Amino acid sequence: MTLIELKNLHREYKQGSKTIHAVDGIDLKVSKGDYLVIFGSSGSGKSTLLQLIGGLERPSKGSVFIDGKNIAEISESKLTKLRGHKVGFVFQHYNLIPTLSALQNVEAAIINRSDQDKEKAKKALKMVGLGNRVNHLPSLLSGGEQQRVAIARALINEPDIILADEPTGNLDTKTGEEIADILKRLNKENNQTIILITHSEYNRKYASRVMSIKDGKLQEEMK
Amino acid sequence: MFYLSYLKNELVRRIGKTITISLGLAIASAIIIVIISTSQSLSSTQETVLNPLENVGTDILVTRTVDLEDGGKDMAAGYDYLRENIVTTDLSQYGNAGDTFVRDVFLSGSLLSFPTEEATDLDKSLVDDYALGLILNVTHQEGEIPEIVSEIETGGEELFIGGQEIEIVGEVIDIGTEIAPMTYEEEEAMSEVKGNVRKEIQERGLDPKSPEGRIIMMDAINEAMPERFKGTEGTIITDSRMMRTEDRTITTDKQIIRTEIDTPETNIQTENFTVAGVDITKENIGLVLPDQVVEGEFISESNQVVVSTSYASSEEINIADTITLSETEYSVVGIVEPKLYTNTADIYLELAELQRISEREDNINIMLVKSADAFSVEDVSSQLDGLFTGAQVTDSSDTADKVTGSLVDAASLTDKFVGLTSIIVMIAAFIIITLLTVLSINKRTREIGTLKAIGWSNKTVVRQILMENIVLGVIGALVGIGMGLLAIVALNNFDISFSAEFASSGIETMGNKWFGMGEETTPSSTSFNLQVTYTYTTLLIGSLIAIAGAIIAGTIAAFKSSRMRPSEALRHLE
Repeated sequence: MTLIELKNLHREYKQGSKTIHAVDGIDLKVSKGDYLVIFGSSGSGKSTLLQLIGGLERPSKGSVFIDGKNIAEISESKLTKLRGHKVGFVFQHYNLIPTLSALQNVEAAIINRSDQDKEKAKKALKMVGLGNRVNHLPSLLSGGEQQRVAIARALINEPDIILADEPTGNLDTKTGEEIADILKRLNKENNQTIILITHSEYNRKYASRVMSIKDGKLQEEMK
Repeated sequence: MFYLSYLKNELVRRIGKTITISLGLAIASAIIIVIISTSQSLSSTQETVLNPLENVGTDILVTRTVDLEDGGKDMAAGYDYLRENIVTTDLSQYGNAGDTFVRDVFLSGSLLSFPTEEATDLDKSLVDDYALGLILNVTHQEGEIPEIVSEIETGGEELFIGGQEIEIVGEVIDIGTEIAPMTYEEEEAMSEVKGNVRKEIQERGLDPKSPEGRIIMMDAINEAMPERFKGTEGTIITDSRMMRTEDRTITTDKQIIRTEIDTPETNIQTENFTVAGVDITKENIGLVLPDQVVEGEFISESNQVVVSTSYASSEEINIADTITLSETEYSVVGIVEPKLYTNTADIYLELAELQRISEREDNINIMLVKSADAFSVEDVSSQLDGLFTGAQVTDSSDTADKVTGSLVDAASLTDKFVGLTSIIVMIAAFIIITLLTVLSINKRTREIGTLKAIGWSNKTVVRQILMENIVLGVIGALVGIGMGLLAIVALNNFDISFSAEFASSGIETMGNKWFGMGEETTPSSTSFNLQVTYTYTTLLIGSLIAIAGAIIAGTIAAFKSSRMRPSEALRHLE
């Protein structure tokens, strides 16, 4: 079952008089439950691709279908809703709100608020193995711990898709593998679709599908 | 509620930003509170100063003032002016040379006396109430009577009249004695006499216009004049048709003037002060009122006086001290803060008592009138104008014109600049607060991008930013009110004083100017300590300014945040 479909996707940036083709005619189908790892060096267009899939940016040309709906054509407020319900983001720099505790950072992402928010957030933190340091500020947590909080935040609304932009890029291999393990577990247990972009080779072993991006063009690789 | 904990965390965990912005707002609101309060307090002080009449329960003053510049048109006033301001320099009348003497000379200055009965003939339907007063300048002297005295005999000189030297017959001049003009019959008789004498002279072969003829004519006229024109009492014939001829008879006072020649060094001490007689039967209207007593009590008996705060402090007078005026002892029963700034005095006593010791029985020189209502002020004024010759009517607009000094300057200055300063402070504060807020929101670009990436709508982001700023504004407002109140207390502790000078409406120290005796009396000047008071409206304005500033800055910041792209969250920048 195709969850995500990209058709002739283009994204161009003007940089002075030059036009940069960050994403240059990509076609891609991702099925529900895929664990897609995309390798690419910096400047290859991998972040732009992720932004287009997640509805953070709009394409210059082409379409992005999520669940059969072209998100390139929907309004900003619908896009916001889509981000909240369907997509969870994990960032290289964790992007936690510095003034909020681990628990509050997770709580911040809850879309349908209720009295159970705290319990829900605690549960999500437990799921990523961070049950006891929930009231610490991000600055008091290690990189791995911060990324666990970010993953908990990404899965709090039970999204179909988790988009991870270099989630292990700032972590040592051991910690990075722990994070990758968590993502793999979510993929397996919750059947959540994961698209992870990286240049760390060890991610290859978790993937169900591997691709590489270069000069805005995508290429399937053998696993 | 999550949004509130987020708000609280933002303010508490970014305490530096919170303090900077709310302090900025607080300072602006405090400055505005202080500016507005100071200006309002100055204006209200100025109002009481500019309308001193209201302070003493009146709206019109009646005086009799001589215009020294009018070239002596008002002859009667001119004579009274001289009479009321004479200080004899002949000290020998107080004893022998070497004896000590004490004297108090009461001078009216240019506030001439007028009979009480003339002034009180008022239309009762127009006048609500009135009070009588007498304000005199006292020259107090004591010391040794000096030795060197010269005697000059005057009077009886020969004067040239009509080009002819004539020996003067009279002895005493009584300037100002009014002589009824000649009746028609008397004039007829006089011209008949003149005609007869002219004929007689011509019959004797003389020219009536020759010196000899004139003398014959003069003698005959003097003989034929009604008795009251004859120079037995000393007379200036002024109001007679005889003046149309060149013939005049002038007799000068035959008197002896004794004076010191080149006043020798003596130990004579001279002091000048003002003393006022108060109508103590009136409680709500008068030169000084019982509610202006700041210490002790008001005058209730003729042997009591109250003194003004300024005189009490300069002369170190305390309650229960004794003051001697014209050999009468008075006990000081109170200290007063007189509010009729244009006519203050140093010492106040009962009117009848001052009339007695100054030999001005049944005379006053100032009357305070309260008209029946505001609309009748004009009618009353015009009625008062006609009460007696030289009546001078002063109302509150006249007194306002007489006030000058730093208080008036400061008040008009603040009137001009309070709006401008407030606007400058407000604009400066808004700019600084907006810059700080925008700066802090720019620092949170990634945070806001992240919130949007994880599903926060623009509306939620804007609401969060605005709420943060409103809370900053409220904190700023509360701190601002506190700082403003503290500043007002500090200002009031600083003893900032303003002076107001009042052009005197009469009392001058002519005696001193003429005779060079002693110091001048205190000029009519009052100083007011700046007493800043605030109103709840002012505090409200100040706090609204802080909140408005925060909301404006917050709106700009919120607008900026709404423009931020969620993709900022993925920027690989720290």
